[in-house]
Formats: sequence, structure tokens, C-alpha cells
Amino acid sequence: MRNILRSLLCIAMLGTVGSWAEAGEPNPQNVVDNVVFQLSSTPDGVTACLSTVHGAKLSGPYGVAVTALSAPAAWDEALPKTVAVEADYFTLPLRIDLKRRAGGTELGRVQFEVGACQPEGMCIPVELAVDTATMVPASHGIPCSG
Amino acid sequence: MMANRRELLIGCGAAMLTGGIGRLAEAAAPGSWVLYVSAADCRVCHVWEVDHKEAFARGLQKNGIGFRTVTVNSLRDVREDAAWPADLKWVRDSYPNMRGTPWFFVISGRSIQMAANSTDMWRTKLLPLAA
Repeated sequence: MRNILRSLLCIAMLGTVGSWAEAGEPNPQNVVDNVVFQLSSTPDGVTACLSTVHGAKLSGPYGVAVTALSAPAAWDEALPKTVAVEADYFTLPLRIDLKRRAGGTELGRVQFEVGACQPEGMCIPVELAVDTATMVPASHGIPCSG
Repeated sequence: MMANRRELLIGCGAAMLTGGIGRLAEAAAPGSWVLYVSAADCRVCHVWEVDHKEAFARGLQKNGIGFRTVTVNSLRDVREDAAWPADLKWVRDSYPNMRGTPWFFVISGRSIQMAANSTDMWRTKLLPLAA
């Protein structure tokens, strides 16, 4: 009986430790209104891989707007910039690279905005703002393919 | 005979009063109508417009219900001031959290009877009005 109780206690403890480990693990994915923003920081800049869940689609004409909420000079291109396509919806996953200015080390806050068309028949603007300092570092960016 | 005449006068007065009140009520509650809010970059809206708008508006008309449209430039800003006619701004202002498109409102006089913000909700809540 004592052994059984000890085993149950051990299982419970392992479960708890597992949950803690899971909670502490960095999660590079942010899901907002069925839009998945997978962001990583590379030596060259920032890579965003956009996809969706539950049948949502990203509006092509609405585009993806990238805005520097701080330190706009840190980037090697003029922000805000919008990537749009004529097609109704983007082909997903969609990769967007943002190059850092050579030698620039300044960290800033960047916002991504998309038009997400939901399966129930509505399109809404979806925004995600992130600090580049908190992004998961990746040596060559994240893989972004379907 | 005198009593009969009095009753007749009372009856006529009551009939006139009832008719007047009826007409007043009619004037105070003009026919309901539907407001559809779309955006130039809303693909879901475009599909709905091509597939359903005409038949829906025709069905509403048959039932004495009007139909109006507001089209904003982008679903980014459905509250875009320039796109809303002055007489409809109160509808927009009634929904401070309005976000994205499409939106459908059933309006009677100065009150919003029903609101739907997706084509799925339109199908379940508003389409029966055009049946």
C-alpha cells in the first residue's frame, strides 16, 4: 500500500515538474485571432513566418504592414512597409525578412499587422507588437515552408 | 333615439381617435431597414456581395424592409469618418468596439434591433428577414 502511494506521489511530482519545464520553455509562436506569428532574431535582422490555424486566411490586398514602434533607424529599410499581393489571399506560410542596419545593435519594438479573414465570414485587422530583444535567436532564421 | 345618437357620436369619436393613434404610431415607427458595412479590401465582403447581396436586398424590399450600404476604404478602419454619411454616424457611434468587416445592422427608427458581424451571423440572423 505504501509503495503504491509512493508511486502515485512520484507520478504527480513528475507531472508538476513537466508542467514547469513546459511553462519555462521559450515559445516562439504567438497566435492571435487564428494568425500564427513565428518570429526569430538572426544576426542579420528579424524573420517572421506567418501562417494561420482553423481555416483563417490572410487578405492579400490588405497586406502585411511592418512598423517600427521604436528605433526606426536600426533597420536597413524604410518602415513602415507593407507587403501586399493582388490575389485574394496570401499563400501560406508567408516569410518576411527585416534586415538590421549593418553594425546596428539597437533593439526596438516592431509591429506586424495583417487582415485576417476568419472562417465564419469576417475579416479583422490583427496586430502583434514584439520587442526584438525578446525574440528567440536563430543562427539562420526559422524554417518557413508548408 | 337620443341615446342612440350619443352612442353613435361616441363610436365615431372613438373610431377617429383610434385611427389617429394608429397613424401616429405608424409615423413614429418608420419601416425597418438593413445597413450593410463593407470595406474595399474585405474579400469576404466581396464574395458575399457577388453571391448574395442582390437577392437579399430584393427579398428585403419585398417585405417592406430597406437596404443601405456603407463602404469604407479599409477594414483597418471601419470607423473611417469620411465614409459614413452624416445620418448614419449614430449607428457607428453606437458600436465603439466595431472592428473589421462586414457588419449588418437591422434598424428601426433610431434604434438598432439586431447586429451581425460575419456572413455566418448574417445567414442565421438576417437572411430570414428576406425570406
